[in-house]
Formats: sequence, structure tokens, C-alpha cells
Amino acid sequence: MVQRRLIEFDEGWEYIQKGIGKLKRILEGLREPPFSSEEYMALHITIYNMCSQNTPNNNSASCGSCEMIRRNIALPLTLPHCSKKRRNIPGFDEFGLACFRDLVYDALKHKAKDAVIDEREREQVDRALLANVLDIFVEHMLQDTSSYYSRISTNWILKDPCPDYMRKAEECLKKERDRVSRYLQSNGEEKLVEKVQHELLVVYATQLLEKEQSGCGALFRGNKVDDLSRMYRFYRTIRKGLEQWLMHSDSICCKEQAGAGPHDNYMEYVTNCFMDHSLFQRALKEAFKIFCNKTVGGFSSSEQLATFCDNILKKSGNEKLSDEAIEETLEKVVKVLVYISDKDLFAEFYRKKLAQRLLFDRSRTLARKNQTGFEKYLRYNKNAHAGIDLSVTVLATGFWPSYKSSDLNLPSQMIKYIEMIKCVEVFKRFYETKTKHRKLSWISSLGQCHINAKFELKNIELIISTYQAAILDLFNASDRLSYSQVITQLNLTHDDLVRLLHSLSILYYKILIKEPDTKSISRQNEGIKIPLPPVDKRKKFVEDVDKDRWYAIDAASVRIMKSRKVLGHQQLVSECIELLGRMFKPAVKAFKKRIEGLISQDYLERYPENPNTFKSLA
Amino acid sequence: MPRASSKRKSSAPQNPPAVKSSNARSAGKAKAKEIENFFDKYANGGIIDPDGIVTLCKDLELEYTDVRILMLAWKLKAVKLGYFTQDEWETGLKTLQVNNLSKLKKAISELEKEVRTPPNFADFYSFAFRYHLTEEKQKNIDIETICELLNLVLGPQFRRQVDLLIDYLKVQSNYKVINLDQWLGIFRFCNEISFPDLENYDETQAWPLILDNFVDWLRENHR
Repeated sequence: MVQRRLIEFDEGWEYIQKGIGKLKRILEGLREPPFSSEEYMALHITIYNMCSQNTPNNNSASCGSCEMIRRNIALPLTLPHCSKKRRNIPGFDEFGLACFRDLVYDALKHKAKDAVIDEREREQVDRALLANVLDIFVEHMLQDTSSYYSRISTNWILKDPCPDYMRKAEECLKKERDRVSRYLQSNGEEKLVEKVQHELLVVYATQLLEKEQSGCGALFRGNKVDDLSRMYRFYRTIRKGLEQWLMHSDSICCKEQAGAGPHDNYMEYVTNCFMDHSLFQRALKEAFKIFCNKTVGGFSSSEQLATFCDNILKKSGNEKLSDEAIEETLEKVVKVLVYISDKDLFAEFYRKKLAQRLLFDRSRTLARKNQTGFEKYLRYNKNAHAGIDLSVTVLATGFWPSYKSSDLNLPSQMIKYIEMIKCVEVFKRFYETKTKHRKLSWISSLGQCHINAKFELKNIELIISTYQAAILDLFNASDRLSYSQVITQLNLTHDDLVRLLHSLSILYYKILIKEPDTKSISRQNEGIKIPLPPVDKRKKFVEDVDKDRWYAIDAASVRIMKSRKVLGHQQLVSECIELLGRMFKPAVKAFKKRIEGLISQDYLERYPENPNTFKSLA
Repeated sequence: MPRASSKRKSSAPQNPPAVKSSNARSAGKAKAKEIENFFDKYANGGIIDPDGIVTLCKDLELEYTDVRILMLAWKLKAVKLGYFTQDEWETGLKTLQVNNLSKLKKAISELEKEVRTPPNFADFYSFAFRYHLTEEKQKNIDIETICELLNLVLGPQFRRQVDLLIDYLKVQSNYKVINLDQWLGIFRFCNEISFPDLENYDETQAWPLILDNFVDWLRENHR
């Protein structure tokens, strides 16, 4: 290549300047002859040379603007060299835009922004003008809007309670929509509203919903249907928000206190303020399931519900609850029961309560007939003297729930017992005169005795359970008895006996004196009613129910496997849950435990090729 | 992996059929005699009993708790813990092509390599469990034995898992014994689950409950 003459910048620039001057005049529409090809070529070559000669004399950057101008005159020949070879130098279009940005946009954007802010803050501006200007500034304005609302929402969230915040947010959204429709293109509207929603609602969602005094929970508690609907309307439009909201209301529902009422209330909410949104119905169902199956203070809802029923039915005796009211409440209970997964547990508790209720029913409607009959029987049969007063509550098995009870040994050879046994025998005979082929089984664990105890100072009437009475009765015969003697004579379980002895010798009224391992009678202290510490029956019930469940799971698994022969673990679990779901929801761990058992017992085996599959061996 | 209840005989790898030339037969007879003598050296009343095995170990310069003795038992398809019958001894040594102590010593180090190949190892692993069932109809092995066995069998290969699992087995109170299914589950766990992050452990799969509990314990105590 022939070595070109080096053009100094000043020298070249002067020449180019002339060209630019001419061009400007052409562009501004002044009278000016167009560029001749010679002029143009010369200009081009000068610029080209200046741009392509080696540094330090490379002037391509500084010449960018002239290039642009030249290009505008429509000679697309220019400077591929410049822009291609030196990548660090911006190309034409870019350069042009950059110029525009620096000179026009930057200068205007603040003003535009200010104008928008002014408008937001209620100053009158020329909306038409603003609309034109803003076309260019959509991006910028969106950003600006974000920061604007971010600022004010930070402010509000701190000082406003949730409902106020929501009202303000609603207002803002409305205005912003209105504003947008007037001076933004339609595609800008969505974006803008989205931004505003994001800033106002999404960012502070959790904070807003969890506001202690006024958040979601408070609204629920206070039945603020209006505010709740507003809240729902907000978060419905924002997908993520809705989910979050749902989760939140779930947990709120969960926190609510037990009883049969809540379901109705929430049902109302759902229909009224959440426009019956299907998601909500599902959420409500889920929430209720969770809430119903949570244990509150160690009491499962199954138990609470059983207790609740018991209380209602008990009240019917003394407090005047109309039959309709009871009926209605029970119906609600049934509705709630649908959500309870441990229906078997409920049934068990309910049965126990029923048993107690039937026996301790104060009105004793069931027992009275027997009692009068028995008294008459005693009066007419002088030889059938019972020795002590006895009242018996007899329930036909139809009334009687299954009640496991360890029963007192009442062997007839034990003379000490003679009085109690005699009573029982007499009653049996009486009962036989009334009915044929009916067997009486005695539940002495629920019995109660009134005993006149002769203490040194005075006689005191003790009200104790049958078991306690039986123990005291033993001490009528001998002053000292060892634990093992008591246990063999009474045939009680260890647990029961310890509890009974404890009540008689260690608690408030020390009727028996305990020596290291001997017990002897002494008379001291005055007592009226000897409290018997309640057995932790609950634990036992739960254990019983658990055991029943094991069998149920075993049976279900074996049944399924017998028909299917080979089945994947997860399928087996889901089929089992389906089969058992009516009564309870088996925990996966319990399930696995049973599978382990079934494998050990050779009912199942793991499929050799796929350890997640089981094969039936039964 | 073979079924627990399958016949033990069928579970060992097949050996090449014996060559049947008359020469080989007479040579075989001589060898058989040697094997018999070798057996008699340790046998007591027609069977190698625990004492005999201790002596054998001494001669082989191995601890009697060495995993290689267990491997030998696997190769001999021994049925009763601590005993080798004459039948087991002769068939086993024939397949090992061994008829005296020095050859056996050499064969045992070869045997270790053989056992460590995957299908053999899986078989060996389940053999280790079955071999320790000493009572009629016994299906479970107590935790203490299991810990030792794990250490012996899986320890060299899965040190960290085995150590933690043993720790867990010792602190937990739900299980006093382990059955074959759980035992095989442990092997599968060591082989399949990335450790220690347990990333691919999926509780919804049919892992034995004891492993679910183990994983819970790990996540609680070792994070």
C-alpha cells in the first residue's frame, strides 16, 4: 500500500467543517447547491483517511459526528472500515442514538418525570403535551413510577393500618389507570399498573397481611367483609399474590379457635367476599382439613369434638337447650367431622363419653325403672337382703358402647367381700325374675361407693370408687397387707392398683399408711371425698386406636396385595389410603412400619428387580 | 439380589465343570485325599468347629474376625456360623483349586478380589446376614451384631455412612433387631444415595422405615 500523506486533525477538520457547514445549510433548507461528486469524494476521502490512519492520528472517534451527518445525506458507502475494524468505536446508529440520549433525552427526562410527579401530586399539567413527550419515556417512567410508589408505600406500610393502606392503594391504582389511559400507549398501561401493583401490594404483602392489629387475621376476626373483599380483589389479579394470600388465610383459619361455628362463618366469607372463587373453596377445604387435624394443647380435634358433643348432650339434662338447638349444633358437628381424618379416634372417644354419659346421667331416666323395681323386690323378699344399699344402672348392650374394663375379682370365697358380692348376687336374682336369658356384666370401674368410716375422732362418710372401697374393705380384715397380697386378692392390674393405693395413702387424705413395702390401716385425718387421680385414659385410647389401625393397615395391605400380586410402594400406599380414608388417614411412617412387619411375617416381599415394588406371598 | 428364602446353593456363582479325563480323575483322587487330610488337620469329630477355625486363622495369619474368613465361609457356602462341614470344605476347596495351607493362603487374597466384584459382593453381603442366623426360624439379628457386621462388611467401602449408621443404631430405641429386608436396604442406601448431602433420598420411596428415621436423624444432627 502506498504510504498516504498523514493528515493532521486540525487541518483535516477545517476542511470537513466546510463540508458540514454546507450540509447544515442543505438540511436547514437554505439555498445551497447540492454536493458535487468531486466535493463529496474529497470529503469522504479526507474523513476516511483521517479515520483509518494509525494512532495517534486516528480520528475516527472524533469524526463520528461528521460521519453521521454524511450518512444522512444518503451515501451509505461510508466507514465500514471504521466501524468494523475497530470494534471499540460505536457504530453509526448507536452513535446517533447516544447523541440523542445525551443531548435531548437527558435534558428532558427529569422535566418529564417531574411533570408526572407533579401530576400525581395533583398539579395541573398539560396532559396532551405530556402524553406526546412520554411516548419516548415509557421505560424511564416505569422505573420512576416504581421508585415513586416504593417510596410512598414504605411510608404507608409503617404508619397505616392494613385497611387504610388498602384503601389508599386502591385509590392509587385507580388514578394510575386513569392517568395511563390518557397519556400512555395501551401497552404501557399494563406495565405501569403491574409496576404499581408490585410496589404497593406484592412487596409488602406479607407485612400487610400479617399486621397484628389490623392484618388479615384481624379482619377475619372482626368480620370485616368489605375490607376482605377489597383485599381479595387486589390479590386476585396478581397470581403470585393470590397464592400467597391463600396460604395466609389458610394459616389464619388454622389459628382460629375450635368449635362448630367457624365453618359456617368462613363459608359465608367465601360466597360473599371472594366471589365464590373456586380456588378459595379449595383453600377453605384445605385450611379446614389442616385446622381440624391439628392438635390444640395436646388434645386432638377428634377428642375435642367428641367432648363437645358430649357437653351438648349432657347439657340437655339440666340447662334448657331445645331439641332443635341440639339438633342444629350436632348437624354442624357432622359438617366439621367431614374434615376430620381420624374418624376412628372420634368414634372411640365418643363411645367412651357415651358410656359415661349413660351411667352418670343425672336424670337417670334409664336407671330409675330398674331401681324402683329392685326396691320393691327387696321389700317383698325378706331373705334376699342385700346388706347395703345398692343402686344399679342396667343398660342393654344396644345402648352400651364397647368398653374395655379390667374387672375386679369378686371371688365368693373371699369373706371380706361378702357384702358387696351379696348385693351383686341379689341383684342378679332380681334381674332374672324380670328377664330371661340376659347376662349381666358388671363394670365396677365406673361404680361409686358411699362408706361410713369409723375414724378415732368421728365417723366420716367417704365417697369413693368401687375399687377404692374394695381395697379399704380388705383392711377391715387385717391391719397390714403387702402390695402383693392386695394385688392377688383384688385381681387388679399393677397400674390400676398403684393408682388406687396412691390415692388412699399419699394424696390429701391419708387413710392408709404406707410403709416401705407394707401398708396398714390407721385412722387419721378427716376426709369426705377421696379424689381418685384420673387415669390418663386418653393415652390409652390413642394407643388402642393405634393398635386397631395397625390391624386395619395390615388387613388392607394384604387384601390389596392379594388381588394385585405385584404392586409399587406408592401405589400400595395410595390404594391403602383410599381404602382406609373413610375411617382415618394412615401416617406414612405407620404404614411403612406395618410393611416392615408384613415382610418379616412373610406376607410380602420386596421384588428382587425393583426394590420399590412389593410382591404378595400370601 | 437373591431372595432371602432362596436356596443358598444356587446363589453362588457357577464354577467351570470339572474335567473328566481318566488322568485328571486319578490326579483328582490324590487331590481329594490331600483336601481330606487338610480337613482332618482342623476337624474335630468330623467337622471343623469354632476351635478348628481359630487354629485355621492362626495358620493363615488372620484374625478370626477378619472379613476374609467370612469370605471363605461364603465361598464354602457354609451354613452354620462357626462351623465348616467336610462336605462344604471339600466342595469349596475344589472350586478354589486348593489342597494345602499355602495354596489356601494365596487363594484367600484372590478370593477377596473375587468377592469385591459387584454381583458377588451383593451375594456375599446378603450371605453375611444369613450366615449369622443361628437359630431355627430366626429372622432377625440383634443390633449389636449388626453393627459389627456392618463395620466388617461395608466399613472399608462406605466408611462414613457405616460409622454414622452405627452411631444411629446405637442411640435409637425403636429397633432392637434388624431383618434381612432392612439389611439389604442398608446396602442399597450406601450404594445409591449420595452422601453426605442425601440429595436423592426420597422418603416416599419404599425405603425401610429404619432408613427414613436414620435420614431424619442425620438431617437433624449432622447439618
